[in-house]
Amino acid sequence: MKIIEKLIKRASHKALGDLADDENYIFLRKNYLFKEISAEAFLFIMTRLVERRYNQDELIFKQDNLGICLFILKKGSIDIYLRTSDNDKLNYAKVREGAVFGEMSLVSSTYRTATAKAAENDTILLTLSTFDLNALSDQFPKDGLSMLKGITNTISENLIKTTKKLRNAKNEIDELKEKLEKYERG
Amino acid sequence: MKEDKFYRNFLIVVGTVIGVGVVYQGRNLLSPVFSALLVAYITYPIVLSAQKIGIPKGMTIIVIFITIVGLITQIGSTVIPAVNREVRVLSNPNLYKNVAHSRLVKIGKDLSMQLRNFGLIRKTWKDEQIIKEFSQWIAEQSTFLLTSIGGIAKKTGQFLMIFFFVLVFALLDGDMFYKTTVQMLPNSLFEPGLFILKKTIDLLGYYLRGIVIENLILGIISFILLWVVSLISPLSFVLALVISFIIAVTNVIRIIGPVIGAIIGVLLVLITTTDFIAMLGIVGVVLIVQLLDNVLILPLVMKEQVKIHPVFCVLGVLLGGQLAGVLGMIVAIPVLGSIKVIYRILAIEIKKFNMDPEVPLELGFQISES
Repeated sequence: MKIIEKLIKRASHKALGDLADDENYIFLRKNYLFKEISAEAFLFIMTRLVERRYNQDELIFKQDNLGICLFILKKGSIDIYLRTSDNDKLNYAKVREGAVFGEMSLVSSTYRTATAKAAENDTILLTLSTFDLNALSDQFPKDGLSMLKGITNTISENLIKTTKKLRNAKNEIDELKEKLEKYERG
Repeated sequence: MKEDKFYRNFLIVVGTVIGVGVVYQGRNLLSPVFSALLVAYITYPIVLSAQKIGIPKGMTIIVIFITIVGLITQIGSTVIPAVNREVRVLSNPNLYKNVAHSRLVKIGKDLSMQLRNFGLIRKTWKDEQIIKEFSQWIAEQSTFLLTSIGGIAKKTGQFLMIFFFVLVFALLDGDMFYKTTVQMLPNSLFEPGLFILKKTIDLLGYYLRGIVIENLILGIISFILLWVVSLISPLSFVLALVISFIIAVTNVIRIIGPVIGAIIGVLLVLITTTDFIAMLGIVGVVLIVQLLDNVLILPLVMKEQVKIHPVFCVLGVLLGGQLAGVLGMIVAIPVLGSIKVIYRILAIEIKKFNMDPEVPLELGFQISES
């Protein structure tokens, strides 16, 4: 068994060596999600990774639709916005190159919580599906866990940011209410 | 809006008709392509595992290729000379009178003796007469075979050429094949398209696993029953094991598979013992096992694995046979399963899927595991 493990490791390192000039490989190696991933698991991810191109204003995913993929922005920029119950558009974030988004669908098969649209022509995304993450966790449990931790961290950070935004918004509303009350009192 | 809907439905109907027409016209290509993809699907994990430990893909594919070609050659080189010898003997009365010249004549004589003992053929019939009738029939069949041999050779050649071509490329570019298919999905339907594709591939895996489970159960039951037969007949333990294995393997081909299994089993008994009770026992075991398979094992296993109603399974198998022969029968159930997944997504879930940025969604759609 140990010999096979050694052979797999050596073969993976050799295969990754062959990929050294691959632009997706160079790009992903810098990403925090893949920093602690072993050579074998990284090679597995490289075989599953799909590159997609979008034009300006083209939808990537829509709020409340099925979500099964995580996206990594390789080139261009993305607008993420929400639709309120009154159908008002609420800009949420602008995604820059190298960032990961749509990660919530990878952890739990749920609806998209926001809409993502390409903000530039020739926007390039790398995608990884929930099925790929499952397969990765089956074959390389350690690496699957490490990636899952990275995704959970991203979700937590986003949650903290959203909570802060919500708190600020609440404070703003309270201030406005106070001002309105003062104004009404004369 | 109504016009748009009309045109969309019109295009779907026209597209479906053209699609069915193209599949029907190219149905001769379906068998080799399906068989190659099926073999590629089964052997691809070997290529991947070998690649993992540093063996190049090309080398593993060459080994798989040589193994398949070797098996075909081995079967051909064993069967063809034996058939040729028997045909030669049976067409010459001086030769078939001597049992030592032909295995078939020996089997025929032993069998006629058994049948005579059981009173199933007239005692006045002489062996020579039966062999003469049989050899005449063989001669007619061989004349027919010789006249159509050109056509058979051409068809076999075409089948093998397409089979190996698709097999090699499917094994060589298995990942790329999957990736290219995913990349071909339009941006607006990327995620549901990927969902359908993955579910279809999973379904094929579940089906193959279902087949293994079903035939394993079937093989075990066959062996137990044949072992009972061996207690009351000269059928040996090893032969019972071999025949139950053959019954399980041939059962992969729906409907006609069990018949083939029974024929091979009976032929094996003919060659070894020529015992009538053992032969009857094999036919009885195949019938019992088939009944159990169709009533209990297949519905339970396939319902669990592929989630298709047994009636649709049988109808699908018959339709598959009409469209693509034996292979159509084998792949009918996974194809049916894929159609079910695609229908479910297109007809039910895609309606809720909306990529129009101006239209708010009232309902999202949930990933269904079924």
